[in-house]
Amino acid sequence: MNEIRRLVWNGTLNVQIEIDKSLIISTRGDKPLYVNIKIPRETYISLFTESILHRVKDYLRKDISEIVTNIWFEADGNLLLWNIPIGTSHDIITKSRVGSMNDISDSNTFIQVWKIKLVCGADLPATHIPIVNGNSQIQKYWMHQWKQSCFILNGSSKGVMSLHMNDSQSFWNSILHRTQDSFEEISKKIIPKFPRKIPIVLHTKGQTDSQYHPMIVNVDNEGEKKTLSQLVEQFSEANNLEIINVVSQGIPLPLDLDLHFLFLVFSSFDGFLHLIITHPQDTAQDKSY
Amino acid sequence: MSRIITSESDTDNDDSSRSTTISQLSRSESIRDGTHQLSIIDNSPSLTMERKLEHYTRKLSQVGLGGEKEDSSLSSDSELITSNPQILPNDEKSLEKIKIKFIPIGSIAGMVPSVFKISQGQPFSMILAFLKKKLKIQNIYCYINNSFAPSPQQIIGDLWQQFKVNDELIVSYCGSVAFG
Repeated sequence: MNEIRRLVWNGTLNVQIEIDKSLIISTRGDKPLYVNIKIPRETYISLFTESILHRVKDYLRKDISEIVTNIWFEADGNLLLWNIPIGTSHDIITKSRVGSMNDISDSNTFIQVWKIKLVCGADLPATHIPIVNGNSQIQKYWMHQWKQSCFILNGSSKGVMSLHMNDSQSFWNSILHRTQDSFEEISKKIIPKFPRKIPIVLHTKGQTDSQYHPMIVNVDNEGEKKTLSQLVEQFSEANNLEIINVVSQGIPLPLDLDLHFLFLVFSSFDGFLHLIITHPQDTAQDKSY
Repeated sequence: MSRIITSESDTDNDDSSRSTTISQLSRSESIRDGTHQLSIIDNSPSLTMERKLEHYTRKLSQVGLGGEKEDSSLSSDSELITSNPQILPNDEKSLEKIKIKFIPIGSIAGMVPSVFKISQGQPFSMILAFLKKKLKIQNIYCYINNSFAPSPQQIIGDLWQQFKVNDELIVSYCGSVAFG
């Protein structure tokens, strides 16, 4: 189990970010400006906004501090919600999926790159949460996600609210500095051995536009254990479960897995287990890519 | 464009039992097109006469007897909460209403009455917008069960299902940060 957690924590995405042309000085003409970075799957993309802009600061029309509050990210023209772990957003949006390295002819040199866009504008998209206080606002949002998760797991948020201030800060620093040991040590204080309910966020493949609202469900963990197929049966409209795919952390999951086990190994850095449900029509779309 | 949902029979019944649901027309708040509405549960007898007058005026206007003037005065009173374009009008479950109890924290003004009804398909951001408009303030901080602030995208019906207390979702609100 620890090995899976380590792999989940260390999972990264190769991302190519195209900078909005309105931000770039005219001397570059119409040439697009890209930043290539490797981002941990388990983070919010907005934590990287400033470092991305710093890479191209010599080409920017305005000072970074003037534009940073009006920035958001898009993929294929759809808003990327910064408040969802970026790895989950990738799994929801991306259509091309490599099933196995054996399927790739040049597997030695192959790099999978996700192309997204950094957009700047005065009119922010409707469901984008404006970031006006930088990382401290993101930290507060993340802490409230943990409080909600803690409430679902334990029946109250005391586990998070009673954390020592140093622990709270170390918890957040573990996300910023990618220190898994510190993260696991503090999250263990919040996650009980036998949770009352399991906090799960259900996403639907392909739906991340501005109208999208993920479904957050609590799965009762008392009494009989619940499997993934029972959850899908309850919340999916499809009649035939065999044609449904469920993905978490980029990995297709067998439907007979126990949800508590899944939570322990695949839960995200925000305290929720994010599951992406792929319906048959999405699968067909996937294959065409 | 506001859409009026009439539920006269419910209103009349509630009137008689003094636990009144004000008709959606008289006390709903519109931010956009008002397909989904927020209504108020009120026990105050002082509003009964006004409510009945509005109710009968509306009935008259529906059968074509009400003048335009009355209609416009009604619409200025009505506060219809914004619709979420994501919610399809034929999605019956998302139109079902749930109760929300607002509890002020600190010196912020209280909501009168404190219990509202809202379509469960709305995102939580709708509550933030409603409170800001109602209380005429710039910033509002809302917490569920005095514990956490949910994501603005989370559906209110989900929150109610998971955190309701006596069939009411308890939303505490404050003009400044109250719980971290």
